[in-house]
Amino acid sequence: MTNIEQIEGLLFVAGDEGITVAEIEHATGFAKPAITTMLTELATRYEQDEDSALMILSTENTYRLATKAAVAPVLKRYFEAPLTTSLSQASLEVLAIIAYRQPLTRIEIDEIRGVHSGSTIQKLVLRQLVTETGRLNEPGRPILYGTTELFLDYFGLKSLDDLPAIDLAALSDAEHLAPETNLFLNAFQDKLKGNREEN
Amino acid sequence: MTDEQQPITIKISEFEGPLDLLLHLIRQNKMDIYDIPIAAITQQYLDYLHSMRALKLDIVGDYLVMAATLMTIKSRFLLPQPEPEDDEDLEDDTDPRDSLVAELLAYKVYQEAAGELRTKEQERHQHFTREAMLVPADLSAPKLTAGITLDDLQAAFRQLVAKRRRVRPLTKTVVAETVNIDERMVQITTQLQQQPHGMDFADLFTVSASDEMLVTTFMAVLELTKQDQVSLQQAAPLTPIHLYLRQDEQHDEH
Repeated sequence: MTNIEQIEGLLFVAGDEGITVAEIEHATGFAKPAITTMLTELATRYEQDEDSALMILSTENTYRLATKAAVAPVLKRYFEAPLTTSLSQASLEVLAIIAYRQPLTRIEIDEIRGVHSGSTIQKLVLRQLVTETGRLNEPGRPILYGTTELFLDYFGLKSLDDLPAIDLAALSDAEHLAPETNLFLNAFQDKLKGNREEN
Repeated sequence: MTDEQQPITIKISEFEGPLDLLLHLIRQNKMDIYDIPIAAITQQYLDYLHSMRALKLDIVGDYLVMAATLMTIKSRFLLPQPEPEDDEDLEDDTDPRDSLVAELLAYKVYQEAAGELRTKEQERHQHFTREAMLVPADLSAPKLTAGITLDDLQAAFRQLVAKRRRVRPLTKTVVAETVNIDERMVQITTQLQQQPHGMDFADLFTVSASDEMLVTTFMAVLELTKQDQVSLQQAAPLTPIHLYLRQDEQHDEH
């Protein structure tokens, strides 16, 4: 059997949980750089083979075998009920705030949205799109939230760097108009590094 | 500024809160977010509040706070401004609208980001993946980590319910099932006695089971775990949860 064949087999059994380079290394004994190269080669091969319905999705260093978007209509006809439920507007807003501003507390999310977001955050934690990343060293030790690896897979992002660009100019204007609200990303995160605890 | 009186037919449920409503009014009237005509927007906002039929107290509070803020800003505009004495430093007198504009700008940024994520979600939904394979029964299970939380169980249960929805038959006969939690606990332990390697949490739930049966089963698993009759194991987050009869229980004859 060839090396790529082994990697393809592993991808196949790993299914939607995906498999990391470290896991492939453990199973095959191949060196990590070689594994990454072979994964790229396999992905290219799927991509170029018009008769193959398969493709490789990757987030950070987890790889998943999936079907190409082109066959989606056929697959949806095969499943009688809609497969996927979309997230609500509230969930998407909370996720957007957490994704770009993590780690942050519920209070900070509430302030940006102008409404209470506690139950929405809980739903997202339950769906494992959001997770507690630590606590703030302040009275009450409020929970800090961040996004998960599943969040990346859910939106098909390779990493957080892959997030769509946001209107930094508008945020900077907001910061300028009301400095006390501390809305700007970098200043916020620098401040946080000082008083954050890892758990 | 358009002056046409549109009948207000918007419902509270269509908005994510006062900021969302304000942005909607600003867009609708093609107002400049950096220079909001405060009197006009306050009037529209209040009209909207008055038109609300169902007042859900938990939501309406946020809307009322915003109404008060708008009226405060408006009143500050109506008060005569003292003439600045020295012309050197005019930077100091701030616009009463500043912090509201800042809030609207920030919220708008994340609302747009949410729209981008919606697109990404739809794109990702075009790709399908298979469930991961379970360890075949004749292989020894890999090392498992302890420490399953209620969240993990809830997540597993959620997946089951979602999966069941997908395969729900178009018609179904409603039959009253009367299995209580105690009976279900006995059923589960009996099932586990025949499975020395344990079984998958998901396998306790049949696709055709009623909602009541699902909940009863879930409660029974929680209860059995609490009583130390079964132990739960999971290899990694989101992987299948396995149930095992506790060693000291296996000699029991039920």
